Amino acid sequence: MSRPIEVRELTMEYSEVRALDNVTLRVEKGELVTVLGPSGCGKSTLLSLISGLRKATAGQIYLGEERIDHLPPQQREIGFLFQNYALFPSMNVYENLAFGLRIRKYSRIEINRQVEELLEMLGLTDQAHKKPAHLSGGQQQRVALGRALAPKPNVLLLDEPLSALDVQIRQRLREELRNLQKNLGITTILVTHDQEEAFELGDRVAVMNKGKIEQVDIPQRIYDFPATEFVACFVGNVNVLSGVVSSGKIYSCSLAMDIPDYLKGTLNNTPVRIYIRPENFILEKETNATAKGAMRGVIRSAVFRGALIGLDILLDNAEVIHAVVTKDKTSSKGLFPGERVVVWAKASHVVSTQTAPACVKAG
Amino acid sequence: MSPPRKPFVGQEPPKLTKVLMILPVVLYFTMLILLPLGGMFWGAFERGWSAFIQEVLKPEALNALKLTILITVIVTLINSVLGVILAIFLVRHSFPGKSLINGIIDLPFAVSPVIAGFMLIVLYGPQGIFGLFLGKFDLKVVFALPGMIIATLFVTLPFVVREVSLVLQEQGTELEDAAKTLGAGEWTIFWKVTLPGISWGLLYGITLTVARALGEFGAVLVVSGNIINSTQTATLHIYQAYVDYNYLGAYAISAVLGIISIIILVGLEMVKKKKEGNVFEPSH
Amino acid sequence: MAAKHRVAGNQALVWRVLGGVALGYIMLLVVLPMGGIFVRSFQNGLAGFLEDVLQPAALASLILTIKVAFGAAVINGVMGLLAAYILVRFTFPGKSFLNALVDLPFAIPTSVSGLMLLAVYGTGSPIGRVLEGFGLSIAYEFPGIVLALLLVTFPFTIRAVQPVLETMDRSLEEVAFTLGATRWQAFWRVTFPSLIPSVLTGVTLTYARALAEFGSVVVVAGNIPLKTQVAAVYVYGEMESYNARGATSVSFVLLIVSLIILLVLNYLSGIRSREGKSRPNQEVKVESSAIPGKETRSEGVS
Repeated sequence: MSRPIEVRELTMEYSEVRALDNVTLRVEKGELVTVLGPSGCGKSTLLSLISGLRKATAGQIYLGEERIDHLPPQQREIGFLFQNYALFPSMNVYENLAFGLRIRKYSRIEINRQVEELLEMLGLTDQAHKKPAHLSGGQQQRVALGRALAPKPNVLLLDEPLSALDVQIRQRLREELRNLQKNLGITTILVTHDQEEAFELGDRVAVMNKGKIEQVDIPQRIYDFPATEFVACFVGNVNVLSGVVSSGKIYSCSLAMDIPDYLKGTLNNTPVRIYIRPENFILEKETNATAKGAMRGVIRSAVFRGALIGLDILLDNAEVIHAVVTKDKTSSKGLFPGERVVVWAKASHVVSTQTAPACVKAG
Repeated sequence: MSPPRKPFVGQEPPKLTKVLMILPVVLYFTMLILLPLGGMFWGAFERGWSAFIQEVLKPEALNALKLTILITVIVTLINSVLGVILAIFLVRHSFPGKSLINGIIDLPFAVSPVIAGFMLIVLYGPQGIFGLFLGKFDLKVVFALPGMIIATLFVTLPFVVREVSLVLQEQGTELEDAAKTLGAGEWTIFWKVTLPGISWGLLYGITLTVARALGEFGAVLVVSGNIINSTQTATLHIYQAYVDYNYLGAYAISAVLGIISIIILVGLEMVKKKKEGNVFEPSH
Repeated sequence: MAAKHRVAGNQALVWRVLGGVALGYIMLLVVLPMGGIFVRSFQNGLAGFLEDVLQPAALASLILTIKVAFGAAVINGVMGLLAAYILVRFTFPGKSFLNALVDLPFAIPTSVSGLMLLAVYGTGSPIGRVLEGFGLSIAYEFPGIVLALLLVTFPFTIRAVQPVLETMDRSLEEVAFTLGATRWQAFWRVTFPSLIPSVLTGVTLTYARALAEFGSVVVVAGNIPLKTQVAAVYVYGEMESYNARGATSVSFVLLIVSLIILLVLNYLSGIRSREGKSRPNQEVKVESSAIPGKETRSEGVS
């Protein structure tokens, strides 16, 4: 039976290092939450704590209403798919799948029935008697998934389930995984460093950095309304502009933007950094008309990316920004290299007063 | 266009250089291994097969071989079981003083076997700390089978522990973790997951232990007192025959042990290959 | 749920008990006997210990041991490096046969090794007679001891260097070629420096083994005090003549040297594993990094 899983104020310290810092997250019954973050951010640690393979320094874990953080992994009934699958090399596919059922002392007939069912579901019926070493990466992944699902766990934990696979089959398995999870309706947490994977698979995405969850939300909102500098930087492309607060607005050179709520009351002349996604610039060919609250510059180069065109714009203050516009717009507005343009910014952006930037990447 | 220069990448040096490098090595092998090996077999069969067989079938020679086999079997059993337990403890568990224990395991490699035997005499001998105590119960350790077994246990202690720890470290804990999340208890994990994983490493360690136990000389010589038909192992018998100028006897039993060694060596090579091939990696 | 939990608890307890038994085993087998030697050595105080060690025969045996072990270690290092190099880099007929022979000395009992050498180089053998004609006798002489030590330590350097050479990135040498280095320069400046730790490991193992060797030496060189009596043979002799004090004190010296060598080996394997495994930190995995890397495969010291 699938059940919701919740961690509250979970903290994990390894000799002075805080791998996990006060993490709280609830995953509803049947929901798939992806945990996205750079390597070393603590996302794998989170899984090992939920599964019970490690003990948290502080905090609680709930399975439905039941507190489970004192239980050994054997009694949590939580399925775990390991990054390198951890298939038992001495057992064949059938035995790997049957392992959890045998532990639970199911009858031989029952085990056979369930394993056959799993083999069918995963399309592995022909491989049942092969050893893991003789399977392709994709098949190994499916065996590992089937093995985790066989005991009908309350929750499924997936640690970078697709990272060991080739790009071509990754896409297909992503869809398979998504369909399987929805059909079974099993509560799932999937950890990944691959943004595309996190967005495509997750009902919600939790972005982690340095042991903390920075934001949990549906993919669209994570992208459009990043809660922190880190999320803005880590998810998607972003331009970083420096600016200053002045009488209720933020200025980066002559570009004027509204000040977001959380920075209302900031003193005038406070230096800030502004994060703007490439598609959130509005570009017009420069005319003699005055363009209020805009920057001016020249299109230095254009890169064709299918339906979209990436533009490098050299601003008059010598900064460079990267903008993305649709192909139609470039032709209808005449946005070609060498042309002078006026640049506005749409409202959705993060502003930070922190001195150290969360990232240095742009475009 | 000038003719394409011969690519030297991955090529061997000029023939003369090559020969000048290989020759001393071949000579070194011949001098140290091939000639002596030949010499020993020549010595054993110098007076024909029947003389050889007569020497091997002498009661004291047979008894010595039997004793060697007995000691080898007991020692291999004890050190395999305890070696696996020790290896699992050293790799998978953490406890205070672990690195110290790790170092202690290697000590028998560095300690001269004579001294190993001598240590046992100091401890269990008639004047030893335990010897006095054991004497009260009429238990004899030194100059008897128990002492020889303990001495052989000492010199072969590191083999299984080291080989199994290496494999355990290479393997990591992932398989065992996977079994845990599937609900397997410690005991099931050991039998179904850990043991199959270390089996080739264990077998390699066992083979090394057997080879060493069969061939141990110094430690056993010191502890046994070298009593014919009672505490004389095969290596001791060889030494005794040599000291008594019975060269044929010495070479004959040497040849028997030599053949066993070669068989073990071939087995070892096979196990080594299996062991290397057994490391499971998911294809990427 | 509660019953299941107890089972898991019991199993953990079983492991703890097994661990206790195993630790007790090595205490009884290794620590206690060595402690016995340490205690005995200083039974008569430091002065008594020094007196025993400074006996002419004792001192001579220690000095001889150090000398022959040094000789064996140097020859084993040089020849082992050369042998490993040609076995990895060259192809020639009989190569795999030579490679298979390398481990043989580990499998052969040491006393048999001694006898094998006597069969070829002893006074009665044809080669022995020829050598004697040149005034070089092997049996019961210094060269015989070195020969015996070389045989029983045969694989150490070869087997330490071989895997490193095999896994070494050939492109490093090739880059040196493209930069104009000759084969010889490429070897000395590029290949050799990265082989140094493994050659040193081989040499150190050889030295340790040579210090401890008894079986082959006692057969080849006998037991002539002040001449061919190495330390291990001296200990044996003193024991046979019921001079426990002399035996203990020299044993103590050898044990201390062995301990020092073990420490050196640990240090060397530390260098090797650090060089071999410098990879970027991924997820924090404390458990695996807390285990000191044991890379040296030290085989049979007898």
